[in-house]
Formats: sequence, structure tokens, C-alpha cells
Amino acid sequence: MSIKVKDVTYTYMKKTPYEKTALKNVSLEIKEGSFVAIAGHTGSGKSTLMQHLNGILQPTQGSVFVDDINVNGNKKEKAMLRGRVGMVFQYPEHQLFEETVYKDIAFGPKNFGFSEEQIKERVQMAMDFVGLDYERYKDASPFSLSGGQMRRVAIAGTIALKPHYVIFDEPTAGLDPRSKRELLINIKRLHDKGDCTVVMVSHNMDDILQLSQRVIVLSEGKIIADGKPSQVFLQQETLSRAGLDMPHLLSFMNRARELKVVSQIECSTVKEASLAIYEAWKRGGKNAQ
Amino acid sequence: MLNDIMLGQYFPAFSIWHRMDARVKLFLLLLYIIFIFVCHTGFSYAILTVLVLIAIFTSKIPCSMYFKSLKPMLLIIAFTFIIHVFSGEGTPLFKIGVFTATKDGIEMGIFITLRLVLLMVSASILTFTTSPLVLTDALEAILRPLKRFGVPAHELSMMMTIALRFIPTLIDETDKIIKAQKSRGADFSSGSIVKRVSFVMPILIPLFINAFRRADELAIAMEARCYRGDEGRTHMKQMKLARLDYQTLGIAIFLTIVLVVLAWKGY
Repeated sequence: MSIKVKDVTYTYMKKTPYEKTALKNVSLEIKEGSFVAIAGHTGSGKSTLMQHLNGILQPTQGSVFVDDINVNGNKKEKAMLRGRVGMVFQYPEHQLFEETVYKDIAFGPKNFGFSEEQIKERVQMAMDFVGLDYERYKDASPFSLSGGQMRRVAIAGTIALKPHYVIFDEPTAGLDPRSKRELLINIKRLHDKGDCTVVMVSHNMDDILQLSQRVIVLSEGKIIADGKPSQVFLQQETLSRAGLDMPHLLSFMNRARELKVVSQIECSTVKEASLAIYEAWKRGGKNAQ
Repeated sequence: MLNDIMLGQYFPAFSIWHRMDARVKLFLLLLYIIFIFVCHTGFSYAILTVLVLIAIFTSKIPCSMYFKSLKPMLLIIAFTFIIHVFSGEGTPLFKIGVFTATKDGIEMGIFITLRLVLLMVSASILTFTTSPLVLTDALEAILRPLKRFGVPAHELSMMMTIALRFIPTLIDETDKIIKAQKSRGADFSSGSIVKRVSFVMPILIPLFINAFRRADELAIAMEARCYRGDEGRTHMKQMKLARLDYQTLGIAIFLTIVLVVLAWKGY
């Protein structure tokens, strides 16, 4: 089971002076159970690619399959697909519209025809997941909440669909550091529970390095790198071609290597990095003796 | 999706129409529209049509753009044409059911069609060659003399500027909201009418809330930059008539006289 993207090309505003090709012959496979990040500069086509994964955009050329179902297939299959691939857009709090938090989160499950009890159970589960107290917030108006809480409600609206794949487009944009950290921990937990594949579009290389198992780097509508973040982010040339910065942790380790403190710098967490430095220091200490 | 909609859009190019003062262009359009409605002989229409063709040719904008601007009007144009064909008086030509087509009717239909097309195309020349900001500035300049009669010229043009500025933003936003609600299983294309209408709310409410939020932010941002209406406000780009504008006005006055004389002589 996986999402397969085959030779997808997408052109915006075809046959006008504003025509622009956002994706050029992109092919990739996202395996079930993985945590994949999509990185790229503004205008590199990452949001466009993301919107192909649940059939919101139809490829100009090529095809997309989710669990071997064509996303451009018939209507019924398509509807089912949207329940299977959840999508959290940028600034998802801008899509809230209901009078109460409960009703807003229930909008998705209701559209897919679940019973009242099932909806209630799903709303409870989703609110629990994003860390909103069910009893306290279910009857509150979403517009009376703070920005961070509104985002949680919006994300719960997607989680309540119990999707197999969840796609996040810049989930932490505009959040304060604390809400941001909490949200990322939640996303990580969603994946680690084991029943959900996460695709995250992000500007923040540090987050990608820390969270994802695989990163796909886009530049001008093409995939220019695909692999383990701790390896991809060491390719200085690829990064500068894509207009991205090296994650702070890796540039720190890079400098450490230049100063001959460590020799092996591949790592994805602060813990790994400090361990590597500690090992090197211990060895260095022994050599000195 | 929604991005494909063509709104009176500005097309940058280098032509006499792009260089011309927007006030002159507005004046010409007004004059032209008056003539479209006043003229009713074949000869005068031929002149008006030739004038628009010359303008299209000299605007350096592909003809296909003009056809595109006519597209949304095609249905209305066809409808009025048919109504006129079957509602004229005089010698009947042929019959379809209870409707009779007459020679006068066909003539009237052709005139009306031509009128509508000329109207649309001449207005398109203005909007294609003038950026919306310059256009609202020109409107303000033209309305300014009416200020002493209580016409809020500056406020009107500021409102128009802001509205124009936010059309693309709101279209983008609508597009985004539709996509987001679709991802949550909203289905806009099947089911009963009642069900489909019920999906309008999930789009309209967020759209309105976002529009109000933007308006609020914009008002604060404007005040933070000391905006306080047009009192003592100056323009960075002063509008000044150049040689081209005087030449154009001269030609326009000459053509006006010609058309008036022609009308007087009965052509």
C-alpha cells in the first residue's frame, strides 16, 4: 500500500499569457507507514505536488494512485479517497465556519456519512489528539479561541476522518514557539502510533531533519534530491541549488569537523550529535594520554 | 480552477494607448459610448467600427484577448439578437411556430449586436491598456471638481482601489477554502440542490470572516502610516497631459465634428 505519483506534469492557467508549469515529470512513491517531508523554496511546486495526492488537483499529464486507486477515477472512488488521504492546508484555521468546535470537527465525518455515535467518538478522539479538552471546548465558538487553538481545531477536523495518510502543508507557519513544538510532537506521535503515514511540506529544515525519515527536495517543479534527511542536507550543492539552508545542527557539526573535533557528522538529533562529539572527545583524550 | 477567470485585466505593452493619459482615455471612452447610442445609420456605425479596429490594432494586445473578453457576454448578445429578430415589424421573412422574423427585426438585431460588441471591446481597450491603480487615480481627478457638491471623490477612488486590489486575493482565498472543504468530504457537484446549497455556507462564512479580518488589518496598517483622507495628500505620479494626449484630443474633436455634421446631413 502506497501513494504512487507517476510522471506528473501540472500547468497552471493553461493557454493564457500567465501559463506556468509548476511540476515537470515528477515521479515518486510514498510507502505506507513512512514519515516523508517535502522541502523546497517558495514556488518550487511543493504545494502543487501535495494537492495531487488526494485528487484536489488533476495532473495535466501523468497519474496518481493511492493504494492502487486512480485519484482521477470515478466519483465514488474519489470521495472514498478523500477520506483516506487527509489534507491539512496552510493556515487551516482560515477554513473554520461552524458555530461550535464540535460541529466544525464533525463536518468531515458527517460528509462521509458516519452515524451520530461514530461522529461523537471521532470528535472526542480528534480533540484528545490535538490536546483540546472535550468538555471544555466542544460548545465554544471556534472564533473565540486563540490562533494556536484555532489551528488545533482545524487539524482535529482532518484527524477526525481517521485518514491512513495525512498531508500537512506548513503546519507550524505563524505559530508561537511553544504551540509549534507541541504541534510537531503531536504530528510525530500520529506517525509513531503506527497506523498513519505522514507527509509534511515544510520550510524549516531543522524540523525536517529531526522528524522525517525521508526528504524530497523540489526545485523548479523537479525532484532534485530524495533520501535520508541527515544525508541529503549534507549535500551543500543540492541545497544551494534548491535555495535552502543547511539545518542548524548540521552546520554546527560541519564547523566541528572543520575544526577537527569530529570526523563523522551525520546525525539528526541533538542527542546523536552530542553523543558523536562525546565519543570523539573521549577518543581524542585517550590519544593524548 | 478559479484562477482561470478573466477579469478586466491589465496587459503591459508598449503602445500609444499604454502611454496615453488615463483621463484622456476615459474621456474618449465616454465620448465613444455616447456616439454608440446616438448613431443609428449604417454609415456612422461603419466609422465607429473602423475606429475601434484601429484602436485594437494599435494597442499591441493580441486579438484573442479581445475575443476572450467578449466570451462571457456571448449568451446575452445571442439572446438579444434573437429577441430582436422575432419582435420587429414590417415584411415577414419566415416563421418558426408563432414567431415571425422580419427584415426590420434582423436589421435591428444586427445593430444591437454591433452596439454591444463595440461597447464591450472599447471598454476592454481601456482596461487592457490602463493599470487599475492609474484608472482609479484618473477617476478621482475627473470627479474632483464635483467635490464642492458633496461628491466624495477621493473616498470613492480609494474604495475602488482597495476593492480592485483585493479581488485576486479573495479569488485565491475562495479557491483555497473550496479545496480545504473538499478535502473534508464536501461534495459540490452531486446530490440534491438542497444538499449542494448547504455547502455554500462552509465557503462563504470563512471567506467573509477572512475579508473582515483583512479589512481590519488594512485599516490599522493605513492609520499606522498616517492615512487621513485626501486632506493635504499629494501624488507621487502627477498626471500631466503630454503631446500625444493633445494630439489624440484634437483628433477626437475633429471626428466628433465630422460625425455630428454627417448626422445633420442625414447620413
